[in-house]
Order: sequence, then structure tokens, then C-alpha cells
Amino acid sequence: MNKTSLIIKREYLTRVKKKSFILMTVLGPVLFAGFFAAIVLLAMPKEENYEILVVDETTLMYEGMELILNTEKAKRIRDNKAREEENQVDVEGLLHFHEANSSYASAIKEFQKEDGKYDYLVYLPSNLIDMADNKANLVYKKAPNSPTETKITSLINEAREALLMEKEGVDRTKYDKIKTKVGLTPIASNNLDESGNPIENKAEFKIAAYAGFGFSIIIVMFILTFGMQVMRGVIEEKTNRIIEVIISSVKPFQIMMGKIVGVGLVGLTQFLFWIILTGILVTVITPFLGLDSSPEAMAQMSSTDMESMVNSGKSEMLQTIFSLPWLPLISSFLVYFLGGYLLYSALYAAIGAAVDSETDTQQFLVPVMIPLMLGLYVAQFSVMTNPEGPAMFWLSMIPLTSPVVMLIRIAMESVELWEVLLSIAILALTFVGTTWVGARIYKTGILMYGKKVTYKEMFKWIRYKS
Amino acid sequence: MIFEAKNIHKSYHNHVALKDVSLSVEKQSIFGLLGPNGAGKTSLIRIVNQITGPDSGEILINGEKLSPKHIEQIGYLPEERGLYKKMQIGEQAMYLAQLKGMSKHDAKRELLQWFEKFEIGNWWNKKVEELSKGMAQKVQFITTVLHKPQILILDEPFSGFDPINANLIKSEIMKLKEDGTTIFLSTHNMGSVEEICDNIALINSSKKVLDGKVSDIKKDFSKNMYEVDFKGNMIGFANALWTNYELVEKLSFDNENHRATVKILGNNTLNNLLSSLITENIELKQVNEIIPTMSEIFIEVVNTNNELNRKN
Repeated sequence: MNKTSLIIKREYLTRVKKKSFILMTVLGPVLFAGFFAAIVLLAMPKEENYEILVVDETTLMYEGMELILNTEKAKRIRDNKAREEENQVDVEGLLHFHEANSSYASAIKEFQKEDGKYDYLVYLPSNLIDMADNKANLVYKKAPNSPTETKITSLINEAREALLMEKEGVDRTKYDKIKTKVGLTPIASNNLDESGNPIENKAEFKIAAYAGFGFSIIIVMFILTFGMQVMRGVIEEKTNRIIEVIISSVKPFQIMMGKIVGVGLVGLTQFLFWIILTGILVTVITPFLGLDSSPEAMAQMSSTDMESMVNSGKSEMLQTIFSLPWLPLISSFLVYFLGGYLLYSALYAAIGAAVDSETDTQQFLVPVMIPLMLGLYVAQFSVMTNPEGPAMFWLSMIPLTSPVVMLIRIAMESVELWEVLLSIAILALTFVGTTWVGARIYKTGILMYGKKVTYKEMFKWIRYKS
Repeated sequence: MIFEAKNIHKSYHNHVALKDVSLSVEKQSIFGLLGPNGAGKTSLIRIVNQITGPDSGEILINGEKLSPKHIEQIGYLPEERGLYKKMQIGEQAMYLAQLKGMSKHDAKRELLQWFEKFEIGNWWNKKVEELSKGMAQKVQFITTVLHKPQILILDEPFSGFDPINANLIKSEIMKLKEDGTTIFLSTHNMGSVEEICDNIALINSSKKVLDGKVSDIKKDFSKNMYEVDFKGNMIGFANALWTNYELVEKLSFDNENHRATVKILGNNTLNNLLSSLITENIELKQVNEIIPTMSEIFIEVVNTNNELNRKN
């Protein structure tokens, strides 16, 4: 058997057989899903009752609010303009208003009592209705969650609106008509039929961009994780001196490449398992969420059911995610992961060879991490401000950041084929370059002990004749 | 000659590691490669192992220029040696053997035999981190010799072993030699050099300063000194010596029993010394020639050489 493939095999098998790898591979998707679910759950308001003391100096609004709580209008608030999360909260059951028949100052005393039953104190100053000052106070013991705060605010506003409309004699239906807001739908010019409607319902590009951004984070995570594994492997071989034994049978370049390829395959294995497990998780879990994720259902939803879709932000997002260009995304993920990994892991191997222990690596690791972090940061910023601007173009060409940024552009479908090919070509050329540089540093470094290595020293090693 | 090094020169960017070093080693012998720390031994060993190349000069193996195909004919046990801590011993030994070009089948068969011989058969599935240092050294020794190399380079093979295991390794080295292996032994343990080396070369400050058969070198360095134990009177003993002898050291065990160290000067022999000592007042008990140990020779040569270098 070829010696390099022996090394690849060892590097691969020892890592894949590790308990931590198996655990991470199996639990990874579960952890991600759990993490995501935990965030959603934690952010979701609990079904709690709130006792609210109201100091109403206007003497009108308390009545209005109570009225709204008990009328059809309350429903209207929630359906029409309130946010998604409000749908989940039963307003009637949750907010209990109590009118304080005293001044603000004495209500505060009442509120602050240790065994006081009130959660919030709402202060409505007398000038609230006349617009002299539109600030009311919400005094709390524990800061209110955002849906509750929004709800109380909209109740106050609704009450004020209703009172003013009555006072000024404004017709409700007219008012509602005026207040209706216009939504803007961005459509790419090449996605229009003759009558000016979108041909296919393409992913809304901001959501697509964020999905692509998710891939960028995974790539950065993989490059960092597995690059570090390469580095640790090199340091391990150097510090326990097995390298001295191996190097008398195999060329340093073979050892380095064997390690890089072996660890890279570990990364691909993990990614593959994650894809499969996530697929399984999605198919198992979606029925519980009451969603139909089968392609037919999705297709149906995206073509005919648009009207009802728009009503729910959640389904829109799901639908966008399902309509992402998955095949190009996953295949280019693999290409850019491999390219980026090969580029960076050669540098990691060189760092590992240059130092005597992991504690010495810091000064060399920072410059390697900066382009990755910069890529992520600038990409995130550009997606929000100018997703098709020059920053995104150049970052997707520069090989140190292209693995991070290009996937976002591919997800947004805002990239020409030649750009992708050019960026891949630059990436490939660069990783050949970093591998060459890495190998030169590696070759000298692994046999060098007890020496504090500097950048100057490393540059010397690169220039050594072989 | 199975091994010849001709005028090897090697320098790193800021210092010279080897300067015009030539060696030749007979087949089926144990060759001691000696020298103080930093003298250039490791540089030479790395060149033989083709980890680095010489700047000039050449190495011949059986008259052929050193080339990558010789890697499989050389076994190398480095001084600073290690194993993968988290890997099982059997698996690891198989890996190292295959890297040396052995087939899986051969490696397994040979390994089982060696494990049996070293009484570590039940360690196959143990991890290195579960072993003591000496145990790990055994495994390392096995992986070095497993592929039956023609040339074996052992750098401090006895370090880390208890006397019992050191003897085990020593006898294995002797056995390998009998089976035709040529062995380079680099060590600071001069006792083992005297015991098992046939020839040595001493390298100091990147140059070879001494080489030859161990027995010849010891003869060359003997100072013609004898240790004489006798019964009698020390003053009488001193008087019995002529000017051709030098009384180097005196030691009295009690009033009557003494030991004197005598250096014979000029062309005189031990016979001459004895005949002058055999008098009424002196009863000779025992006479021994003082032969320098390799350790003494090492120190003497290195010190003289360093002095010389300083003067130049």
C-alpha cells in the first residue's frame, strides 16, 4: 500500500473511531436543533397572567382599554397589525387591568409594597389625549417581555385612537382604509413574465442571503475545527517525537498531505452524516409541527397558495428555505469547504510544525483567523446594506475569504457562472501556493526543538534550498 | 564495507554540523558513534536516514550511492522517540511496519513473534498511554528491527530501561549482529560501548577526531601504568624504583599493606619493573595493568581536541 494512503488511513480511522467524533456526529444535528428550539422557546412568552395597576389621569382611557379588551376590536388588533408572536397569546386571559383611584405617587407606593400583587404600573398622564406629550410610563418589577409590552402599548394606542375618533367624528372604516400599509415585493428583472408578474416564486433574497450566511458559518466552523485538528496532530507528533521515527520512512510532504487529507475526510464524513441526520430529523419532526414538507405539498404551496402564505411570516420563511437552490449550494459548499480547508490547513500544519507546544501557537493563529472572521463580518454587513455590491464581489474572489462569502452569493442567486469558476480557480491556485509554503515550513519545523520561532525565522525556512 | 561515508560536509545556515567526516563500517559489526552533545552525531544519522542531505560528500551502502530504496534496509531508533499515545500498540506497530514497506501479513506475523519474545503478547490492544516508559521503549525497539534492516541505527537504545530489560535489549542486539545486521550505536554509555562495540568513531566539534577498533584504541591509550599491591615498607618501595619509573600514587591499607601506582618510562617493560621490585623488603601480592576505560579515553580526546580548537 502506498505510504501516503497509509497515513491518510491512520489519520482518518483514529479520528473517526474517537468517541468524541461519534458523539459530535450523532448529536451535532440534535444539538443544533435543540439549540435553535431552546432559543425560540426561551424567547416565547409564558402563558402568564399579569396584574396591571393603571393610573389614568385622562380619566377616559382606562375605560377605553377595558372596552377594547372585551370587544371585537381586540381581535382586530391582533389579526391586523400585531406581530406574529401576539397570535400566540390570549390577550383576554393574560392582562388584568386594575384602576388605581389615587395619584401616581400613592399608586407607586401601593405598587412597591413587598406583598403587592401588581406586576406593572401603567401611568397615563392627563395630557396624553391632547398630544401635548405622548409619553406614558410602564413601571415594572421584572422587565416585561416584548410581546407583553407591545400588547399593552397597542391597547393604549387603540384606546386613544378610538377615543379621538369618537371625539373628532372620524369614521372607523375610512380610517382603517387610510391606515392600510403597502408592502413592497422585490422581483429580479429576469424573473418576470409578460404581464410583469414573477415567473417562479424565487427565494426572497434577504432570507436566501441569511441561509447562505448559515453555510458560511458552517464553513468557517469546519475550517477552524479541522484546521486546528491538523495543527494539534502535527504538534502531537512533534512533542512525543514519533515524527523522528516516521520521518526516516516517509517524506515530510507525504506526512503533511496524509494528515491534511485524512483530517479533511473526517470533516466531510461529519458533514455527510449531519446532512443525512438533519434530513431524517426534518422528516420526523415536521409532521409534529403541523407542516407538510413533502416536495408536492411545497410545490403546491408555492404556486397556488400564495395568498394565504403571505399572511404568515413563518411559512414564508420556510417556503423560501425550501425554494433555495439546494443542489448548487451543497455542491459549491463541498467545493469551497475543500478549497478553503486545503488552503488553511496547510498553514495550520506549518504553525504546528513551527512550535513546540500549543501554547506557543497564539501569535501565529490570529493572522490565520482574521481573514475568516473579516469575511464573515463584512459579508453580514453587506448582506444587510448592499448584497450585490463591490464588497461582496471582491470578497468572493479573494481566496482567503471566498469560501466564506461565495456561498451567500450563490444562495442569493446573484452570481454569474464565470465568477464562480474564476473564484474556484483562484482558490485552487492559492491552496497550491499555501501548501508549498506550508510544506517548506513544516519540513524544517518538525525537526527543530526548543527554539522560539519568529516570523522572520519562518520566512528563512521557506527560502531554504531543499 | 557495507557502509562508507566519504568526506561528508553539512552546514546549517549559521553553523557547521559536519566537516569532512569519513567513516567505513564492516558488515556484521557494531559500530559505536561517539561524541559530546552537539558534536554532529544526529546530523550524521539524519543524513544516513535521508531526512536531510549532505552539502557535499557521499554515502555508500554496499558500494551503492545512498538512495530512497535504502530506506527499507535501514532501521532507526532515535534518541528522542515516541509513539501515538492514544493508539493501540498492535495497530501502531503495524502502521510503522507498513510505513517501512512491510506487507500487512508479514508485519503481523513478525510482530506476534517479537511480542512473544519480549513477553508482551497481551499488550496488543493496550494503548501507549497505559504503558510505562520502559514498556513503550520495548515496543519502539521492536518496530525498529521488525523489517529486518541490514543497517540498524540505535541512538541511546538503553536509556529508560531497567538493568534486566537493558540486558534483554543488549542480547537482542548481539543476536541481530550474529544474524548479519550491521549496527550503529550512538550512546553516552561508555560501559556498553566497551561491552558490545567492535569499532568506534569519535566526533567532536563536527569533525571525526578518533576511530578504530575498540581494543586497538584502548591499547593506544594505555599509559604503561601498573597498580602494585605489596607488603612491606613504602619508603623501601620508592627506593627500589629507578629513575626509569615514576611513582604516580601511593595508598596505604595499614602499616604493612600498600598499593602503589607506577608508570614505566622509556623502553622498560613490566619484567624490568618486577625484577627491580623483587627485593627482601618487598613482598609482591598483585600487579595489574591500568587500562584506560572508554570513558577516560573519551574525556581525554575531547578535552585535548577542544584545547587545540581554542588555540587555533
